[in-house]
Amino acid sequence: MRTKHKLIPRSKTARRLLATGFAASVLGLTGAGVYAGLTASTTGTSVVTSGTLLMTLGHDGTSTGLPETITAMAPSDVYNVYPTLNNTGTLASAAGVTLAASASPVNALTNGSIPGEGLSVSLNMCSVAWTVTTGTCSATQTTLLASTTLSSFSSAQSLSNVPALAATNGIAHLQFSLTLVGSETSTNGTLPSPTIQGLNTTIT
Amino acid sequence: MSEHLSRAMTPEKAAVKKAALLVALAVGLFAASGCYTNLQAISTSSSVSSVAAWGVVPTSTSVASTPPCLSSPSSCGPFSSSGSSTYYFNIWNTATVAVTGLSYVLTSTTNTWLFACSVAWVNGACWGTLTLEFGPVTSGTYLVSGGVLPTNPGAEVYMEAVLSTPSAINVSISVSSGSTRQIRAAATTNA
Repeated sequence: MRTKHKLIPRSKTARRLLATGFAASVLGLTGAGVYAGLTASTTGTSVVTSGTLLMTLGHDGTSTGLPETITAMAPSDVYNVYPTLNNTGTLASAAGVTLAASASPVNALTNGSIPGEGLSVSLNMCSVAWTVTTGTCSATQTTLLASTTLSSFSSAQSLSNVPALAATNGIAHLQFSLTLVGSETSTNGTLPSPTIQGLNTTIT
Repeated sequence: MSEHLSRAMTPEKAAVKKAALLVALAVGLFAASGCYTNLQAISTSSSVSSVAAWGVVPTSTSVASTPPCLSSPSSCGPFSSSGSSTYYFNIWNTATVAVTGLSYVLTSTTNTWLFACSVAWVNGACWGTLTLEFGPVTSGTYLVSGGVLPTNPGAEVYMEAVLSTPSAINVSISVSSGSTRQIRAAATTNA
C-alpha cells in the first residue's frame, strides 16, 4: 500500500512531462506549418497589347483621289477629287480631325501675297460614296471645311462635323475641292506684276 | 491557431498590396504614356497645281503668212504706226488657255475700222473668214467677244486697220479674267 501510494506521485509527474512534451511538439508542428504557409506563392500572367490608330487615304469609285495633278487652271476653275479617309487601325478615332497643308514652292498661289487671289480649298463629306462622274452625293452631304485660302493653312485647320471613325472599317467619303481665285488682265502679251499666272506648286 | 494564422497572413497581404501598387503604377504609366503620345494618325498626300497664263500679242505690220514677231513675250507690241490709211498687223495668242474675247484700246483721232481675217491678207484682200471688230470709231476701249479670234494658244489672226484719213494710230490689246471675262469659261472637273 505504501509502495503503491508512492508510485502515484511519480506517475503524475510523468504524465505532466508527457503532456508538456506533447504540447510542445504540437506547437512546434503548428509553427512549422504556419511557416510553410508564409512561403506559399501564386503567379499570374497579364498579356497587354496596345491598339493602333491608323489612317489611310483611298478613293471613291473611279476618282483619282489624292495625289492629284492639275494643269493650266484658270480663275474660278474647280477641281474635285474624292478621297476616302480610312481607319485601318484597331482603335476608333475621335471626332477631331485637322487638315494641314504646306506648299512647295511657296508663291502667290499659296501665300496670299496678292489680295483676293490664289488657291482655295474646301472639303465636303458624303455619308455614302460620291458619284464621281457628276460630283453628287446621293445621301447626306456635310460641309467639313468651307472655302479657305491656302494661305490660311499656316496652322492646321480644324474640320467640322467629322464623325468618329470606327476601328478597322471606319471610312469617310470626302470631296476635296481646289479652286483658283483670281482676276487679272494681261496686256499685249505681258503678264501683270505681281501675278498668279504661269505658276505651279505642290501642296502636301 | 487563429492568432497564428492572422499573423501569418500579414506578409501575404503586404505582397498583395505591393502587387496592387505595381499594377496601379503600371496602369498609371500606361495611361500617362497614352496621354502623352496622344495617338495621332496622320495621312498625307500631295497635289500639284499649275495655273494658266492668258494674253495675246499684237505684232507689227505683216501681210505674210509668217508674222515677224513670235517671241514670247513679244517685243514688238503694241502695234503703233502713223502716216497711212491702212495698216496690217497680227494677233498671236501667247496664252496657255483659250481666249474667248479681246479688249482693244484704240488711240486714234480719226474714224477707224478694224477687221480680222482668219488667214493672211493678200494685196489688201482676205481670202478666209472676215469680221469687223469695230468701226468707225475713234479713241476708246472696245470689247470683242466673237468673230475671228485667236482662240487657242498659239493661234493667230490677221488684222487690218483702216483710217478715214492718214494719222497716227495705236492699238493695245488685253485679255482679262475679271468681270469682263475674256478667257475660257470656268470649268468644274470631277476626277
